[in-house]
Amino acid sequence: MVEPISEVGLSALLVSVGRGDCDALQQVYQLTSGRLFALCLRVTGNRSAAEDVLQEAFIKIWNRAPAFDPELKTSWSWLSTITRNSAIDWYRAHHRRQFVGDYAISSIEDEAEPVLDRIIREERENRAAALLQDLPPEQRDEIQSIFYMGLTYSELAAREGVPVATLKSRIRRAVLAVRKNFDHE
Amino acid sequence: MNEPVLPPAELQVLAAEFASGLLEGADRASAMKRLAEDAVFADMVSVWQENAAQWTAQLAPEPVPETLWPRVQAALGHSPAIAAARSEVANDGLANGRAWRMTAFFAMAATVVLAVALGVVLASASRTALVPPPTAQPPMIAEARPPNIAQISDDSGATLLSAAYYPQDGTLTMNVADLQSADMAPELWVLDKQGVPHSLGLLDNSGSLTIRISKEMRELLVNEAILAITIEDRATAPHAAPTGKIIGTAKLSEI
Repeated sequence: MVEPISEVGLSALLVSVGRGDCDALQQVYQLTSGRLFALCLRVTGNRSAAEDVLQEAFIKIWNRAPAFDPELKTSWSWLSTITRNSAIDWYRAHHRRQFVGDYAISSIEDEAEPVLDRIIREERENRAAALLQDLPPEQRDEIQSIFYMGLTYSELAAREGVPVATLKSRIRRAVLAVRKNFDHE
Repeated sequence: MNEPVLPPAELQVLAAEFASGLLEGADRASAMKRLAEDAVFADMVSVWQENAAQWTAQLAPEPVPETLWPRVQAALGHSPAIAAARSEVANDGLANGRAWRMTAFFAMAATVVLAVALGVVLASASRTALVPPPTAQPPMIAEARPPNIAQISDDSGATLLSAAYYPQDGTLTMNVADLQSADMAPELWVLDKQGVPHSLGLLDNSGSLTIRISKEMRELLVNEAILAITIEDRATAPHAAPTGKIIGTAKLSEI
């Protein structure tokens, strides 16, 4: 079972981090590091590298938090984008081709989630998840993976050992399958 | 001038490719130009980005080694003095110059140049005039030169503004994220070679927007010129120098 992350509480914590609150940073770390670490693993394909990337990401989070604006971006989106970009930078610097499959699901401790947070989160998650409904599992994985990894066509083709043209066809099919669900919204 | 019209399905594929970072080189430049010119395409890109963020939230957490948090703390060199200094920067209204430098530093690759440049932000008294947008004339006509493009994102990568600048007639076509409030609006700046910001005007509408740049300012909108956005008071715009925090910067690049 994947535990939820409190969006509203997380935003407040990030604002505190921006004011120099070290304890708030630790709370953000406790709430999000498990998922952000999973994201790092997806991109780097290497546990040791993922640790380095997550460390670097939290340094950036600390340094950039004064500019975090909850009205412009959700806290999770802000955190995951910084982490994802750090992981992509690492990947591009090292050109690893190791493939990482699914990791075993594990849980992290989380505080009780306020009702308002839960409603907001569930609404967002349901809407995003609905887009992927009806897709075959391999197509669903493919479309999610390209967004997790953020690699270019040529980088992704090299990583997976397939021609760029083949990759483009596969991604095109997956995107169009998701698009059908856009139309149903 | 404009990117070729694509069927909706193809446009959706392109939006997904752009939002996910798959595009590179000329394809990416072309998509950035379309982003500035086509509000429908910009909306599609936003929808993909928003949903992708939710997909990452559904990743199953991985156990993180207990040694990692102490490493983060050590790398940050946390101490009461540092925390106090950060708090001062974040809360002190007079610290705009420092906040401007700090944000710009992390917002783009040209960190050293920009950090030095922004040191003189508050000393600037340069003013600029915003000419009303053209009505009927398209931005580019004969002897078309490729536009310069820029995409300004915030620290986390969210697109704040996509712009295509057409040097031969001085028009700047933009797609602007909704950053409006009752009293405040985004203001666009270009930095000269000394790093002094000059206002290109208040962007008092979100979505698609075209403005004609004054002749004086056109000289600054060259390849690799740095654009920046701050949030400013509507009532007193345009401003001689930024007063709000900088929320994103980007370099203008030739396609």
